[in-house]
Amino acid sequence: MPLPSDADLVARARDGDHAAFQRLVERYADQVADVVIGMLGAGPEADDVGQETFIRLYEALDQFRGEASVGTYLTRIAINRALKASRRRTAWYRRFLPSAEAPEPASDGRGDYEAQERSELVRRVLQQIDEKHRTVVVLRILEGYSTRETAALLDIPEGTVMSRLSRALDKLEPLLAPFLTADEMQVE
Amino acid sequence: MTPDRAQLIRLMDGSLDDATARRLRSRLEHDIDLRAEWNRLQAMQSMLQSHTASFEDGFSRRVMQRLRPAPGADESLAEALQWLFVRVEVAALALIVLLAVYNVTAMNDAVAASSFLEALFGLPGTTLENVLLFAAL
Repeated sequence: MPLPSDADLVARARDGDHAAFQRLVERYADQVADVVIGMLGAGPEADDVGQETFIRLYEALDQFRGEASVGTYLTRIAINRALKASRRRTAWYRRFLPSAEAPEPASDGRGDYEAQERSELVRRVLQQIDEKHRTVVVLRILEGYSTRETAALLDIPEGTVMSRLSRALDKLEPLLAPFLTADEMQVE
Repeated sequence: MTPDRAQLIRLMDGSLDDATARRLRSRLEHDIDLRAEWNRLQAMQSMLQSHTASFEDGFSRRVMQRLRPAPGADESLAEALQWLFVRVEVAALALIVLLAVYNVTAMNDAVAASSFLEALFGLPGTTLENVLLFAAL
C-alpha cells in the first residue's frame, strides 16, 4: 500500500484528522530537528521550538496552498522560530551573564568519532559563529538547499548568501581543522 | 572572499555555468593551491553534512498533546457546577426527608392536616378553625 502523499495528509489534517497530522509530524520531525538543533544545539529549548514549528503549521493548514513543499514550509517556520529563540537567548546572556563565553568544542584534539560524536561536534562548532552565518550554513550545507533556495527562504539576495557562506566557512575552518583527518582533506 | 573561493563555492553549489565549471575543473588539475583550497572546502562540507539530529523520543506525541484544545471557560464552569450539584443534591435530599419525617411526626399533633400530603409538607388543614388559629398567632 503506497504511503499517503503530503497533500493527502494535509487535506485530511485540515478536516480534523489528528492521526494524519501526527504522520506529518513523524515524517518531518528529523528535518525540523536538523534545522532547530543545528541553530540552537540539542536540549529542551530546541524541542520546544520544534513543537512550536509544527503547531504553527497546524494553525496555518487552512492557508497552506501547497505552493511550497511541506518540508520547505516547515524549514521556513523552523528557521524563523529558531532565530527568535537564539535572539532571546543572546539577550538573556548579555543581560545576566555579560562575561559568559561561548562553549568550547567537545574535544581539543583528534579522536575516533562516531556519527553521533561528529554531530555533537558540528553543533558545538556552529554555536561559535554568529546566527546570520550559522543560518546560511544550516540551510545551505546541513539541509542541502541551493544558494537560490536559501536566498528565497531567508528573503536575502543570492550574493549575500554567498558572502555569508564564505565568511562562515572562514570562521569554521580553524574550528573544524583539528578534527579533519589528512584523508578527509584529500577528498576529491 | 577571493574570486577563486567564490567560484569554488559555486562549483560545490552546482550553480556555475558549464563553461566556467569546465575551466575551473581544468585549473584544479594543475593549480596545487586551488586544489588544496577545494579539498579543504569539500572536507568541511563533508564534516558539516555528517550532522544528523533528532528530537527526544515521543516528539510527535508531545506535539499532539499541545494541539489538544484546553477546556474553554464555559466548559470549565459547567464541570464545576456539575461537581457542586452532585454534592448539594445528596445533602438536599437528606434534608427533605428529615423535614418530611419531622412534619409528619411533630406537626400532626399541633395542627391536624386534612391529608397525608399536607402533613408531609407541614401544611395545616384548610379549615376555618385553623385559619382563625393562624390569624390569632
